[in-house]
Amino acid sequence: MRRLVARVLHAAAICTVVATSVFVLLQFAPGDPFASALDGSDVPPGVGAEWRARYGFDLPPGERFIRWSGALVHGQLGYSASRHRTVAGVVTDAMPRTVLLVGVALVIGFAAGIAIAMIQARHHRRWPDRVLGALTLGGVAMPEFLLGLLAMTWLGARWRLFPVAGLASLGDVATWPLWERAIDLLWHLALPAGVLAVSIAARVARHQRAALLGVLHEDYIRTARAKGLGEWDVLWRHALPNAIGPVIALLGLALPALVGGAVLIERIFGWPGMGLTLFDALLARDYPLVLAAVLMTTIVAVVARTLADGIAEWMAPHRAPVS
Amino acid sequence: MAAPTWHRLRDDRTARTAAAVLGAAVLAALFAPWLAPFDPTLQPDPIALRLMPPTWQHPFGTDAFSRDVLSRVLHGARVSLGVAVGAMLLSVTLGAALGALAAVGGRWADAAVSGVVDVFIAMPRLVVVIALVATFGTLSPWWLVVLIGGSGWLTTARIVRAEFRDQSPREYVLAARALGASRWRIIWQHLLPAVAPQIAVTAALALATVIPLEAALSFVGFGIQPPLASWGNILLDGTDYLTTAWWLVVFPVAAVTLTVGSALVLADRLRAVIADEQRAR
Repeated sequence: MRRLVARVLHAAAICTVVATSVFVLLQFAPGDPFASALDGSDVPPGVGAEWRARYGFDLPPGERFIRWSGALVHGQLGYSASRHRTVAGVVTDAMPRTVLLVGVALVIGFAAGIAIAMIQARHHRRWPDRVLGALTLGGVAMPEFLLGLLAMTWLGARWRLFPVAGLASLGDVATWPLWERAIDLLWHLALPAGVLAVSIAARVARHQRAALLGVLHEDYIRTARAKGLGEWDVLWRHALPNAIGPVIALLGLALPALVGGAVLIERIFGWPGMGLTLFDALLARDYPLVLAAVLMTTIVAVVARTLADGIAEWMAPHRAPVS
Repeated sequence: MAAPTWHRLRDDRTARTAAAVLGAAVLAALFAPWLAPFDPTLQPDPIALRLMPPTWQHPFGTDAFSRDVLSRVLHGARVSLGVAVGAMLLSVTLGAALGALAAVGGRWADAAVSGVVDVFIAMPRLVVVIALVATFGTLSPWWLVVLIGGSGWLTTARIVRAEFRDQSPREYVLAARALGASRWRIIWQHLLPAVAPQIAVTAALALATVIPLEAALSFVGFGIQPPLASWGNILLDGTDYLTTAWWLVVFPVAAVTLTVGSALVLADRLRAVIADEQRAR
């Protein structure tokens, strides 16, 4: 319990430092949401200043930081000038979509990765191991967004199996019955989540295969085999529980990179989550929204990593106390 | 101390193949001006030669401006691999220096370096780099090297710190200290050579993360700017023609995947060799 509290505090500290440093950096950023509209030569002098004052852009950085962090504690993230609504509103719309995308990809990718590693360990150094080894190497070597482009080219654009962009079909989707809307959503999720899942599966499989082969020399494995257990049972009931903890911890370390990959996937497939929000905000120089997007993706990564560490510790084999 | 590791790596067939692929990519990048059949920015006939599928004259086809894709991929290798190798060298040097500082520089240095590593390793690097580049305007390739390299030292620092702390109490270090060797001498002559294989692993892994990072940046339009070709912006040019011109996507994707894959394999084999040696000891 104390370690749990320490872990949560640690995660909170990370988020605070990240929020502060991003805020400070953005103070040096050129331009603001008014630059394109009000800094032209045809705008009378003083108008720009008046509008900046109205939205608090004329305050000194220190006061802006205090106001911004004070509002943050209350769950407010400022006003998004490019979307004409609160940043918190934009985030509440976009965040669940990113969590859905990354969550589905993680679950499928993790399960598939474990399954691949089991097959490889079962047939160590025979052709299934070699073929799957080559495939997982390819899956790790090819960045998510490149795989996304290939999937989009063939599965989406050429063979027209899956939609290549957006959350839902065009038309009066809102009037459809709930389950049809759910299926439509999943159908649109197939390519982006599938691509991410392939990347995750490849990484998990490579770590898990090594971890499984590492424990297969242990005495308890020999004991299990000597009891007459089948090789699959040995792997599933004895090797895997002892080998899975470090893999989850490693996956936790890789999560920030996976969130980064998800950001690009969202951009490629027009999936309107935090990643796409980030790109839109950057192009519009909508800094409160940029700040929120960077902060939120970091929080997703930190939370997921804290969870992964916790799970890894919980899954780690415990020795019975010696009496 | 470290020499046997390199010999063993050289005897590993998989590692040799991976090194050959990487070496070929580097040579192609170095000699691109002589290897490329065309000028990468030449637009011989934007009407008749537009989006030509691969032929003998244009083995990788042509793009929407009738430019030769093979020449662009070769010249792109110069930029992409140049940025990647530069960023890798910067991040590994920085990481090794700061990791060493944390390991031998006393409590405060350790707390400072470890604290920074702890916080920033949790941030999605791609998101941060994209946000920085997009905010401060598009950068020259040199600045990209600084930004990508400067954001990548965390893992190296962590590993070098751990390895240094593992080696420091060993007899050979104590012996050197007993003989009156200075701290610098111990670091340069004893610790650094001992952990060189591990640093090489992080260098290979750094290369494998930096190549996709540059490609991603250029692909979203914030990295290398046209007319300069990089693997990422060739892909960006290709996204408008996904249904009609597969060669614009497939060849740069293959280039990235092959180089990243061989860097990964090299890191993997080196790690296996190190583990073998430690088991044998």
